[in-house]
Amino acid sequence: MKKLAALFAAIQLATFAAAQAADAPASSTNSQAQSDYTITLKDHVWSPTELVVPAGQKVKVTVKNLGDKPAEFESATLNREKVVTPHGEITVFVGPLDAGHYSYVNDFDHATTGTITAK
Amino acid sequence: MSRYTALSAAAFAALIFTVRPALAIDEIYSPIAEPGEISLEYNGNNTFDHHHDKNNIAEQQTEIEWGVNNYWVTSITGSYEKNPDESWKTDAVEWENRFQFLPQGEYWLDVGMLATYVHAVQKDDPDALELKLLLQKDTGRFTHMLNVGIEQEIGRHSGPAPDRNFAWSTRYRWNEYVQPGFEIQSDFGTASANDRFQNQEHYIGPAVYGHLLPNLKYEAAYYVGISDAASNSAARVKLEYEIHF
Repeated sequence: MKKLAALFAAIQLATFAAAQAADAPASSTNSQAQSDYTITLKDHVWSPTELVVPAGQKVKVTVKNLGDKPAEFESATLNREKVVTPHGEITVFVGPLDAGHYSYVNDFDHATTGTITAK
Repeated sequence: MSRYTALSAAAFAALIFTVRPALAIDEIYSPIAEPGEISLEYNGNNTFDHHHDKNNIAEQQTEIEWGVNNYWVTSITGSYEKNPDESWKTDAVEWENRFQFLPQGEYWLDVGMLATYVHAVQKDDPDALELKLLLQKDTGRFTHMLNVGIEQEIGRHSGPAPDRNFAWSTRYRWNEYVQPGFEIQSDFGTASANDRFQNQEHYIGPAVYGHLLPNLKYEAAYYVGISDAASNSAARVKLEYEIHF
């Protein structure tokens, strides 16, 4: 049992280290391929309501929650689902996207919807 | 409790007690962690075959999962199984740990790992340690997932060689409620035996994924056995009720 516990501890330590490495700034190769965008959530409204991004290109979207309640950026068509704490922000990498509309929602408030449009 | 929450809980409970679930078939895991989320899951699968010894082999799992942070999800699972001519029995208690190695979508491939300790409940059954490599790739509106795993029995009555398994899924992200796709599930057996395709269990079939309600996800797949060792067909159902805190 001690061996098992040690094994699990080692696995968790290793994956934590890998995760920390992944949090480091992206390499120059990745940075060149990405564009940065920001979406904010305030008073049950996403801003901008429609975010236009280039099709066929990976983009980095920072989602900021300016409200006092947690939110969840969720998009079934983008395959993204991530909680944003009050006054917190998350980073979402999407694409390369085909041209089209990709809707997203605050999963804690389904009336709050937005769209990412790839052109 | 909101109307949606009540309906979701009722649907989850109803399906737990009405759907029966197979052994070579497992859910297909994404490497992506969802921090700050607790989920209640039900997984069930069942085989169908004209041969008595391959018919109605079933497994059910109930699970509580916690997204600890951006890179780690841990869960406790109760597993129940039924073999032909046997009644349902408690099979194992499992401690699953799923690790996400990279931020989703930042690199060409999303990579993670699943490490599971299986504690057998039945007296003469061995415990087991399972490791799975979890890979995911989005292309356009398609999501592809690949799981490659080994399971090694440990302790008394354990086998000498690990069991090897493989699972693939592709889904089209049509909308929130219906995402059609297909799955391939393979159990290659141990490295020391079952080296012929027909002696291994291989399944392929259509699947559908989505949300039944805002907090209730579902997965359903129907498989056709494509090797002699596999049953004629099999089915898999998963329900996941999400709770945020």
